[in-house]
Amino acid sequence: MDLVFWGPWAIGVVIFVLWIKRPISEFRQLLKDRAAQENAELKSTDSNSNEQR
Amino acid sequence: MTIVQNILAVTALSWLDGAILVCFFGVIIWIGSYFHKWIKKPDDFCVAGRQLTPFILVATLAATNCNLYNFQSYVGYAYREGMSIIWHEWTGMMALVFAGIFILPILRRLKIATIPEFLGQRYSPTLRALVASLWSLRFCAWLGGVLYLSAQVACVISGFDDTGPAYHVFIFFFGVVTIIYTMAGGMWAVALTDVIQFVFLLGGALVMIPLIMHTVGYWQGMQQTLTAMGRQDMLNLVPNEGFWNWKGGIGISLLAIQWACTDQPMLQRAFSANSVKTAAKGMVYAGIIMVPFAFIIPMPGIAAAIKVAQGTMPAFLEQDNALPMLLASGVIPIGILGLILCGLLASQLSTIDSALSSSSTLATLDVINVVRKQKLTDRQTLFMLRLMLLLMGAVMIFTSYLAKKSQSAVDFYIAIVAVVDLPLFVVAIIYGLFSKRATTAGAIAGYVVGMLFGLLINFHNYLGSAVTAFVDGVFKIYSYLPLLGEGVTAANASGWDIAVIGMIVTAVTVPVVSLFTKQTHQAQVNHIWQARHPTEAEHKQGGAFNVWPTSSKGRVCIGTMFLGLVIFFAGLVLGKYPDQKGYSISRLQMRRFEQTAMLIPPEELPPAVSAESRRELFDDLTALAKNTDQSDELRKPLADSLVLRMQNLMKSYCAMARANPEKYSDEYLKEFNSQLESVQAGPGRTIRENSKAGTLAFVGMLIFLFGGLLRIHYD
Repeated sequence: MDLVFWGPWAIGVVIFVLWIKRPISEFRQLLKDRAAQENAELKSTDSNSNEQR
Repeated sequence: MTIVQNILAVTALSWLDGAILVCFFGVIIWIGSYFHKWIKKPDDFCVAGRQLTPFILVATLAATNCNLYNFQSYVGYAYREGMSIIWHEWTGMMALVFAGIFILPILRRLKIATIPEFLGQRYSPTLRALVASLWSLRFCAWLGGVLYLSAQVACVISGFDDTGPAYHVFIFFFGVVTIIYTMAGGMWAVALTDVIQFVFLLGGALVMIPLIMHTVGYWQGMQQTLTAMGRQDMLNLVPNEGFWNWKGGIGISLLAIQWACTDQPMLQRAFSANSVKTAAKGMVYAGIIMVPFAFIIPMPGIAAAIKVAQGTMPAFLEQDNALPMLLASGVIPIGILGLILCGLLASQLSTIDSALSSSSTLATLDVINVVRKQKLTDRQTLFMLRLMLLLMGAVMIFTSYLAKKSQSAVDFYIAIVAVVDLPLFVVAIIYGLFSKRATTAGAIAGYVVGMLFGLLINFHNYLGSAVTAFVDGVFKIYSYLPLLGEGVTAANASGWDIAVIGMIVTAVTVPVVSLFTKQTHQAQVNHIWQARHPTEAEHKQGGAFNVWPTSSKGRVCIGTMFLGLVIFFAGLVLGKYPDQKGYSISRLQMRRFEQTAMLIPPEELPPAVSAESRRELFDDLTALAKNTDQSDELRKPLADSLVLRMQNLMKSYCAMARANPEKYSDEYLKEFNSQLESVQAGPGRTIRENSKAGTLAFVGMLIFLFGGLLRIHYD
């Protein structure tokens, strides 16, 4: 087995798999946080408008 | 190109590969436009609102660092010189770890978006505006090289002539796509498209490289073939000869530290991290994860050298064509080629988008907003950021045509860095962070004088005899510098020597001028010094990171890093001393000669040269390379007769090229003449390279990285 070549390649595959999963899950969390933030801002704008009326 | 086009005519991209590429670009543009609604303030555009999370940060840092320039240029240099080009990447990894631990925490704590902004805080707004203006232009110049490579790859693989209209179409297409999505979504679009591009890039590399290496028997097969050909020195990590020799290793280490500490695209991402600790971790992880990839990336270049020497792949003039030629040679199946191209081009886009974003940030925040008496509102700033991006994109397209004239994208990049970046590193990092005594006048003088020296040395041939005499004088003084300067003159100086001279000149000018000029306001300096320590807020949020560790475990990690560095540099210096010296033609010269000689296929050789006599010459060169046991007395007559035969062959080539200008462009004649001059310079002194040097340097690197990885967990 040509370890000098396949060794670094295999490490690269492991890193590749890990580095797909984690950024994607972080990005999903970012989107959720963003959506929650926008909802909170909308509610706050609505309640301000109701108070003004 | 006629020869290449004929061969590539049967291996042009299929409709499936083309469809994959079109979909890819469509997705990238859509992502850019999606993030348009996230951009509400300048901070959102420039640093993603400082909200990037750790693994997105690592992916975007790694994507910025690894691009087509890495792949294509490294493969090209590996084709010419061997594995030693790997230090260009590995020293970069080490520098990322170093900067992530010692430099970045300070800069991140200052809540800056650009290095010139730091210069404004440490010195003055004048220096900030000066550096930012020059840097914006420097990015555009460098981006020109990046864009040129993209178009080059696209042309060769698709079978189009890179001197024809297709080249221009590719330049404009790639340039415009990147400008559109970066203008729309700012750093958010840049960071998230980087993650996707990172996936395509690494995925493409993990598929492409084994497919290419299969044709030469992977590492073991390659090693056996090279030994049989007398070319095993190509696998030497720290050779004595060539551009990427022991001195190149030291030179690129300096450039790497400078890059990791001051490179705006890299740092702008690190500044986007959601805490100091995330920023430090991001840099360290981004450095370490790319180490195995960096090892396998140059291998296709050596595979190309073997295939050309064996006659199974046509020789080519520009070394940067090594990778495209391999891809177009049919080793990659249809469909997979499209995915790999996505990966390679994706890597280019990730570099272009980050540098465009950086240059527009520099121009807007550090030049326009500093020079204007009335500061721009948030809305005006956002508009200006986008306008500057568009302008910088236009300059980038223009400079891509200049980069094409340079022999290699790596050479072009090093020439820019040596002139512009190294003086900045000295002023900003060495004196800015570590010397309270450096004044604004000293910093400006150091930066300007350092750059001026770099420009004079690079262009002295065009500036008159007085400048040439001055430059000769500079090199005379430089030649007294132990190790690096020995035997260096203006005629034989490399890019490394110019880089070191620029650094030394700046390093001397700053303290000398500072001695006689007004000191910087103490509050400014104290503000920078306080940034070495975590704030109360950092401790409360759990994102604190000390530059100097408070725990004993942390200090042991620092000691480990230092030990690794010492071993690493010892390995580089050891490369200066070959295992065996004597009278012979250097293997590097033999390889370069053969690769140039193979540019003419057997059926097109000049009348005075037969295919058999050329083959005999190659075989005799191989025999000389493999025979390391003979004494100089026996070797000398053989070496001298071979030099004569090499000269005669190149003279015939030159005569043929001059007689057929419509078939052999100026580049061919230039290459033949260059080889003739090199051969006429006579035999060299290295018989066998130092085998221990590379191992020592590699082990030193691993120890350093290990120490760095532990350091971010033990504070």
